Amino acid sequence: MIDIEPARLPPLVDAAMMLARRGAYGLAWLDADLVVTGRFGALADALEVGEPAAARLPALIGLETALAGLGCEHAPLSMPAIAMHGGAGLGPKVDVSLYRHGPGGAYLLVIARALDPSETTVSLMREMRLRLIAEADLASKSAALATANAELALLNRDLEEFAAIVTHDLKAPMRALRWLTDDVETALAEARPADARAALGELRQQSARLSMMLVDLFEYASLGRCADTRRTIDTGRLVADILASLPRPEGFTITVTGAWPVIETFKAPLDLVLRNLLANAIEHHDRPAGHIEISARAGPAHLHMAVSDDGPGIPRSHHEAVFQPYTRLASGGQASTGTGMGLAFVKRTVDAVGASMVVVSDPSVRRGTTFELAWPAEMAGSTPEQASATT
Amino acid sequence: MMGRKVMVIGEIGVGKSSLVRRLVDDRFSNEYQPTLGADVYTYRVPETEHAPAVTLILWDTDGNFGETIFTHVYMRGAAAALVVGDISRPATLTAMRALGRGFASACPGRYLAYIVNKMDLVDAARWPDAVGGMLDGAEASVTATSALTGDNVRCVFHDAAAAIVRRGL
Repeated sequence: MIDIEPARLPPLVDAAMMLARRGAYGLAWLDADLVVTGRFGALADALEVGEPAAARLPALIGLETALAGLGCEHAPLSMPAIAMHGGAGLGPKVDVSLYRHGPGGAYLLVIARALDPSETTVSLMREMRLRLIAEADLASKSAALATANAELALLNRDLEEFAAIVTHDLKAPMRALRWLTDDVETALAEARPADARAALGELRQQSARLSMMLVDLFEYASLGRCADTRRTIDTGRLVADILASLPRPEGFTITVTGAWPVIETFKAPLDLVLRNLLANAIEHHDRPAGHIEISARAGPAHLHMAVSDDGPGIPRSHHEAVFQPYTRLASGGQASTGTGMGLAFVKRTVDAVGASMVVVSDPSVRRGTTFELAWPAEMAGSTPEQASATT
Repeated sequence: MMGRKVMVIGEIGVGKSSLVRRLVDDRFSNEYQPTLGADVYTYRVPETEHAPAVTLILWDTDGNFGETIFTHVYMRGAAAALVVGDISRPATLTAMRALGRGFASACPGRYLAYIVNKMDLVDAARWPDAVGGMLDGAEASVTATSALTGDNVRCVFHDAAAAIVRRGL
């Protein structure tokens, strides 16, 4: 007969009440090491005397410290509604309680069949899950709708911009084409073949320029919706490749300074931005010889780059206008070969990748322009030491 | 038997029970049966070249607990927690992070890992986009799983076992 006298009455009354309410139960006595010393009742049949209780009741694993701190005058350690799978064969759900059984450190283990959850409880939980899923679905659809609306607004803005450009900026070359065809017709009617040939030559040039403008316009409209992915690039190598393929008059020098690291970023946009900034510095220079400097400095989340030239500079009042499509500022009276889209490409690309750009230029103070870029990038390797090279 | 208690916690309906059943029984059921209280499973991770065998005592818990789970007796003696979220329900990922932080605070030094489940519902290549910035600066490793297909299920539990042995938890 197991002596249970050392246990105080209230916990045992509590245990007795619980067992009285349940149809199935089990009792087991455990020593201080949680080894079964005795058992009674159907739900304790799986426990073996002389074996650690946790061998058949794995839910007890990890509780050693908590049980050691249990006082016999206090409430038991109770684990309600647990099911042991592949273990003790205690049935679907049981309530397990452990009572401290006197100062010797023994325990009384009480296992009782858990009250079955009502159908209402289960169906409420199912309803709750369905509601949560429906809410998540709704939230997701709302977010998608908001994104679609934002994209639509952007597209509308682009469309308006596109329409404005087409109706306004392309009028001039179209008019030129019409006038040139008139010139050809007149020259032919008046038997001036040389003039007709000259007008045809110009017409060809204007037509080619118009084509170039339309291609640029299409590319401009496509920017920002391109799906480029981040990749590891050696920015030093990228700049070298750009310089190698960049046409420039003799007398123009380009110096690469600073530290150009290997980074994780969007390659095509970075190529486009640097290429256009360099081309713009050459194209809009007002002198036959000039100097451009391109530098880099790695920051924690950005690569800071600067493209500086010693050209005529951009008046402060034009700092925003230069980024508008088809904008070409006067460059010392020299004819520009571009379409005026270069800086518009740059601005749009910078916005699309989440970079930032600042124009530093004030011809009233001194010559030259610097475009400062903060380009989002993760450093993929060690930053090389500062270097300088001129081509 | 080296048994270690591992809690599987997360919001209601994220697939905690499905993950555990996929691991233990290698099966998946489409029929949703909410867990009331806790279901306790044992899963033996065999010995490897670098680690002894370990038996995980997996506590698959009721999702209704939320963060009150940390004050519940179920949590006593846990060596690790695997916190589960549902890729198709962003709110559950936010809750997952909160539970992860709660566990790290309630059980310092214990192993913690995040599981983003139901990857079968999204294009695997785009899953970082699907979670947006919700997992930025995560307190623990994040593994994408599918209880439906079984993808990555074993490895998250085996990783937990290896970490428990390595850290002597």
